[in-house]
Amino acid sequence: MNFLAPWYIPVLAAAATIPPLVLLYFLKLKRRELPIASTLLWRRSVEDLQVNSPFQKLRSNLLLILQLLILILAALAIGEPVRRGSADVEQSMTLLIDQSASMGADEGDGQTRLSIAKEEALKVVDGMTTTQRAMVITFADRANVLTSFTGDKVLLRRAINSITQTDEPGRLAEAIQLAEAHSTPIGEDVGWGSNRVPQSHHLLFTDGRLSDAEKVAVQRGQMEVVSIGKAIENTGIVDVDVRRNYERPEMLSIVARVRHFGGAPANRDVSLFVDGEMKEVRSVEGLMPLGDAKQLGNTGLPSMPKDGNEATVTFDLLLDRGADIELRLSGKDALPADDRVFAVATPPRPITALLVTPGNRYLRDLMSAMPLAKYEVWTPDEYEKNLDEKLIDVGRSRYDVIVIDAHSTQRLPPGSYMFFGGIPLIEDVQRGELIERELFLDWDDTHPVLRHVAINSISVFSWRKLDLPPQATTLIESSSGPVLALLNEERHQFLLCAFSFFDDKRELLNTDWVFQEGLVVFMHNALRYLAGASTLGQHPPAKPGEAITVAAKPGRSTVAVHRPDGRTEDVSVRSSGLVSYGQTDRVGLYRLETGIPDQSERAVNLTDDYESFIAPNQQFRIASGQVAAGSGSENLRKPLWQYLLLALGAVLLFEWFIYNKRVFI
Amino acid sequence: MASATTYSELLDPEFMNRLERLDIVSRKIFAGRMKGERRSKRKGQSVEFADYRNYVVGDDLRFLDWNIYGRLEKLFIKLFFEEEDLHVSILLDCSKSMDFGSPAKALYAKRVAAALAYVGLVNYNRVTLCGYSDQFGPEQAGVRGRHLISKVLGYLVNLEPAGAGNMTAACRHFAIRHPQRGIVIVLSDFMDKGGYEEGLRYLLGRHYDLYAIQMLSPQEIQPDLVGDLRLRDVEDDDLAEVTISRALLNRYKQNLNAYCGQLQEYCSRRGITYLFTSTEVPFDQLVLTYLRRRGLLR
Repeated sequence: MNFLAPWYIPVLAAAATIPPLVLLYFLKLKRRELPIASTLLWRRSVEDLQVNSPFQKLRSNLLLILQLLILILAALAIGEPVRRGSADVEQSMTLLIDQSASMGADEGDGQTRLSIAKEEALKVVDGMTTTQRAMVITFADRANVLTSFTGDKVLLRRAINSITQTDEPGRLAEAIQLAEAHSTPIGEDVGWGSNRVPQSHHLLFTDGRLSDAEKVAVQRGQMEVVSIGKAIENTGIVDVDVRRNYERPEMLSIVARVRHFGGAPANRDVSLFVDGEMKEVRSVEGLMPLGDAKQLGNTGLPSMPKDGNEATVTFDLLLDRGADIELRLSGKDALPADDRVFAVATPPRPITALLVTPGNRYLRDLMSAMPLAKYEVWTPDEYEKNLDEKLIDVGRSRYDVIVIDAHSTQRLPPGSYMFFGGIPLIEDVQRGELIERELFLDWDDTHPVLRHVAINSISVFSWRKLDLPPQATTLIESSSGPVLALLNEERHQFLLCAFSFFDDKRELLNTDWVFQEGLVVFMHNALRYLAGASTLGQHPPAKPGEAITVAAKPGRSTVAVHRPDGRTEDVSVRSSGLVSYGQTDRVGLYRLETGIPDQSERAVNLTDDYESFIAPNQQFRIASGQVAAGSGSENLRKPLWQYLLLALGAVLLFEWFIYNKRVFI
Repeated sequence: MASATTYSELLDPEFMNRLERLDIVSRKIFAGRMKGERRSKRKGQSVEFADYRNYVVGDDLRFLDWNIYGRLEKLFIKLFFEEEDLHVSILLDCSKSMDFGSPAKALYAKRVAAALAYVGLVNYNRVTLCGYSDQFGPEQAGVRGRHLISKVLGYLVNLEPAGAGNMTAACRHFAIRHPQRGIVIVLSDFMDKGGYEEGLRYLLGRHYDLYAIQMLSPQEIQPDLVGDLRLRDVEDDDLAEVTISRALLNRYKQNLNAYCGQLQEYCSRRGITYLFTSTEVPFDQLVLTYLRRRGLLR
């Protein structure tokens, strides 16, 4: 048993009350004097009672002893006694509370994992001594410090109670960084503070489903994991794609992937809602369990689904307008966040493109073969000199994609661009020295632009080195730098190809790619991607926690965002005319009053296999650092003062009985 | 002080009329000092024949039965019952403890003593009244004849409870001063810290016809005390600190019953007639009913 209050509090309380009690007790009781005929029988009666009383020695002091016992119990209760496994509690604790989507799993009795985690954290706070401090960090996709180190229990309780559920994926790294940053004493690095501040004790309340946990290292202190949750049964929609038919754009195809993560077979229905109206229902029957129910917590999520563990559901419908699409999974399982996915279907809109080239017939023919609604070819000179109204519409490029061959330019109205052998003349993008006869080292053939493109068969004689800002995504890389890269600026999207089809003099072919079918596939992919058509038919959905960025009507300073949970928030429009909203912590449709019809809605979906796999991770590991598993309760102090008060009440009753019955005089 | 101030407070005329029909009964026949109305143990000059005995020299020749001498030629003396007076002594406890209770035990005892004395006087018994506390006396001894009732009442009126009771000394003193046998009635609460046994033993030694009347007040029989008390003994100022509880009250009552039971047993084993009364019982009822039932009065 330990005491939360400093030792001198109960001692002072006892010292202040016990001596006066003893003093009062030894003061003579003032008795009323009464004359009687004879004390003969009274004395004999008193003696008889004394002789017949148990514990005669204690008889005269029994009330004193009971009252002393009451005072001692009260003093002990004031000392806030607690029961705890070990007394060597760290003086500062970091309470890391997971609020990711999987923590929303229903654990029965109306409790979610997050509510259980909050209860456990509150118990820790209740058990803190006056010399201990704690801070509360909540994390999902991002981490937030709710309170810095404090001993104020009211503040800590308020912070813990304010934690709300999110549908974001769980990532631990940022939370650990924050915890370590706050628990590192100032001056430690210069050598004078390291021994003066005890290391922090990180208490992690999680179900263990944190995708980056095995990459996280704890540098300072020890981490203790309080495993939360038991539920394992869950089925979720882990992927959704909405596409328009290539031949018939008015036809919309919706493809959803349903995966079962439980330990027992499941049958579910997937319902399609268009603008809130149910259109179709598809049954998904015989979903096989992911594994043995008892072993699910000890296994990781297999990268390749087992046979029968997942099903693909396809809906085809005629929809020649934009609409809100929703897929719902019937039935009830532990995690509701992955039972609904949303999409904002865009109206059918063919791609328009502009080719700017000094005379590249390969490109011209290639572009003309693409399924484009409008296609024009300008020379670089025309491009630079043509009037704005030919190129710009409502502050944006009139063409979905502008392909610029062997030309660098500053004329870049907001839009999507593909450069071959040229660059956008913007900050941080430069062309360098000539690179000759180098091989491609690496490429990302999972990227939509390079899908089904055979890169290893391409030969390029020379190209100019590309210097790009760090946020650029390299798709093809050589030993001297990126050869093909994607660069997203605020309202611009650039696909930069370092080489041109011809040499600098435009006399000789620079590559044999023009003779390969891969170039056709590449152009098709790139046009679709740059036109926002990799998921043609919908606005690209965001993941919970990712920011939504849309364009606002010129002149607007703020945009109201209507969240799926009913709340409305106002967001400022940036100088670029874009609006970014980052509080996408719940799945659903976010409606933004941008004033531009097709920029007013965005979907946020969980679609995360790792978060939907809710079986608590019993094999939780981090990359390095000390981790101790705990169920929470044995690490927490259990307050005992209420039992002391109960005992005090019982002694008080007994004392009252003794006093009233006068059994012992 | 609950002592009587007037004679009528002790005995009213109506009650005295009722007492005149009563007489004190002795279970033993005693020799008296004077001729009285009561048959004596002694053979004497009454008309009632008792027995014969052989003549011895010196006998009064007037009591020779000459008819017997004529038939048997032997001298026999005729014996007759002697009628003498009866000694009735009333030992009255006048200790301070008798001045307790409502009605007070002292007044109650005086009334009983007055009634018994009047019955004795009416029947020409020799009545002696002795008050005692820590010392013997004063004493009203050898009163005889109803005309002296005022003397008896005057004595009782002037008797004041005082001092601690010392029954042993009083009884011893009485036994020495009154060797003649008779009826001795002890009126007391018998709450003597020195004990009552030795005192009664002195009286038993004189072969008196002994009556022990124990009288207690209702406050002693059913104490209505509450709280933390310091009980002061009115006789010796002894202090007893008690905290009244149900257990203590029960224990007190048990002890009182045991004490009275012991006294009763002590008396009955030794031929002493014991009577317990509460001062709550009307004293005329005690005299006219209970004492007659016990055989003291007839």
